[in-house]
Amino acid sequence: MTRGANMPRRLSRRQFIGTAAAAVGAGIVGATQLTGGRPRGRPEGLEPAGPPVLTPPGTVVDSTLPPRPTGSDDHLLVVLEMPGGNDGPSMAVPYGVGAYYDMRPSTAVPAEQVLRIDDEIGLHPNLVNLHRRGVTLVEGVGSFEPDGSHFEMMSQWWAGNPSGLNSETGWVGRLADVLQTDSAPIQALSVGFGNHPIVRSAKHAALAFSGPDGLSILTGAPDDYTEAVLFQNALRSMSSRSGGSGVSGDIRSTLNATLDFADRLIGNRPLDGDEILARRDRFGYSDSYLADSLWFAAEVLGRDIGIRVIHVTMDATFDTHIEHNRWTLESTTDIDTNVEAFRRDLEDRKLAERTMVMTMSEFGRTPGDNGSGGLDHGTASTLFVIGPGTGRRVGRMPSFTDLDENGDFKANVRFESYLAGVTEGWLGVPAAEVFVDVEPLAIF
Amino acid sequence: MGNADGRSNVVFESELALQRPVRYLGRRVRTAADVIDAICDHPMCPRYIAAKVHGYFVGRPPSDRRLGALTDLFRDADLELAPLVEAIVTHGSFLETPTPRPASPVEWLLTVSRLLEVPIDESSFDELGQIPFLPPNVAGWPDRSRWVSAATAISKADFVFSRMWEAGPLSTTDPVADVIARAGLVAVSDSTRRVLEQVVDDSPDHEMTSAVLRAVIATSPELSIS
Repeated sequence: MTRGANMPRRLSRRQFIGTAAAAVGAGIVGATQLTGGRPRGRPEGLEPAGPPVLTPPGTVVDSTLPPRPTGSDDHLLVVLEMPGGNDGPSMAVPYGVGAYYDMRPSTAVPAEQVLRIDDEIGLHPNLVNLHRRGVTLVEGVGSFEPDGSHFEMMSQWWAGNPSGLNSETGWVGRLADVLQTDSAPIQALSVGFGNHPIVRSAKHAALAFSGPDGLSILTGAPDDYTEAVLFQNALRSMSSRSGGSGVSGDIRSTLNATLDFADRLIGNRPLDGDEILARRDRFGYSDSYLADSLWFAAEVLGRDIGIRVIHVTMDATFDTHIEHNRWTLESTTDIDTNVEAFRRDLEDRKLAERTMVMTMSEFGRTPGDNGSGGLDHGTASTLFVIGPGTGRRVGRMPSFTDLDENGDFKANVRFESYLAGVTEGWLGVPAAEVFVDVEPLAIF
Repeated sequence: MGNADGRSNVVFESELALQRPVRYLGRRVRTAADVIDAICDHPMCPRYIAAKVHGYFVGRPPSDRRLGALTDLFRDADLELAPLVEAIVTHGSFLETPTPRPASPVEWLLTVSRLLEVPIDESSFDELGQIPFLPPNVAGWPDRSRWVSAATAISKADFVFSRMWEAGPLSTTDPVADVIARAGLVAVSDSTRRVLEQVVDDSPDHEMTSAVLRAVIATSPELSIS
């Protein structure tokens, strides 16, 4: 079986050009955008492991943590996707477990470098800000019928249930439908390309949106910018509220939802390129795709148009069949730098106490090195919940010695329980309204 | 195989390659060529591919009888695609009752680049979110409903607005008919026609009319359908 690292997803760097400033000039330069490409995966149909026993979440309650916020009506959620299969132990390092070092001679994080949390576990040395502020570790999350295929497991995580590819809706879409109100018809965004399966829903309360580039093309042209006014009027006329039939109807109603959303977002206050660049500098965002996405998420949440859930996808290498250490250094830096910048941005906007960030990834990686400086597709992983009051260990770390029949970690928490644990525990939406037959994990 | 040079070029890294033969689809294989032979020789291969290609062009699966005929033709052609495609697109099922489906960005870009008289390059595909031969994963491109989204609506608007001035002026006598023809359309809906005519009425000069008409028809539902 050949192995290879996934293709580099970035073919051109996206430069944010102050679109509002440029729009008043001679013409708008269309900013290039990144593909929302997924890493390549080799479908390696693993034999399903027997279902592990679901144990109650182990919590380490620290009485010095800040009190948990009460009330969930105004809570906001950011879903941070790490595509490719994120290795839990590389970010939440089980430095106290001897077998971790035995099995990973090339990829284990040296114990003296670990940012310790307790006697057993700590964080990767690059996760400095997460360590300082506290992060809740959700351990042993995975499928009880694991599959080594990227697109199979991604589609299950996006659907929020094991039917995966056969699902017509995504969990963020269903969640948005539940939250939808007349005054706030769009409740969730997926920032990226195309119609992301995670936001598909019956009531279309969620949109797949690319980002700030192009917003000022759609709406808000000043009266003297004639060609833009003509174009925007035409777009509006070609859209349709009533839906209409078939593909043409879908296209028109999607255009309508897009124009409405753009109007609400920037109609009263255009984006100001200079102000944006200054904010990015001030809060310490880097120039990665994640930085672009989180900056935009903060701006959308700050404009308070009713969006409550934003899904972003990282453009970093998690499918580390080779060069695991190198890619992990990059991805951990990307996460720590930009999640910290995002939190500072939210604090400035008085949104930090209302906003929780959760990570997701389609699977973890193998317990042991693959002999080529990497880790292959695995099963259970550790995910992070980051926000006010976080700093616990929830779930249960999978054993490095009691493995399934393929030599992979046994999951202790069903991935749907994790998703439901956040949606119910943080947004107050009962699990049964979004998921089927799922016991939500107690996380908060 | 790996891509050690960090770009899209495929590089063979012999030390990572499999050295011993394995069983695959009932045969012993060792090299990539062996794997391809195993797939092509599989009895279900011609039927599977014929059904996929039919679905791609016609927009719906073939009847069993039709699929049987296409399978035989494809197998007899030694799995050459041209005879299969020709048989599909010259058949009544394709010509008479095509099923409208969302156009993929690559399809849209081919039409719109000609309409706007701009070259196609790698960054164009990047902007539209579909780079040929670089699908999101080994399953290939997802179903076409993916291309009906706010994100693609924005990327198309963004793409055309910055390029709509490149081509020369349209016909002065009937710019609407001219732009429709240049978009490769035989006809447009009444509502799209009214929108185009409104642009002509509201525009201050012919040069702007030409530019905006091109942008509007490029972002019309008609051009978003394949």
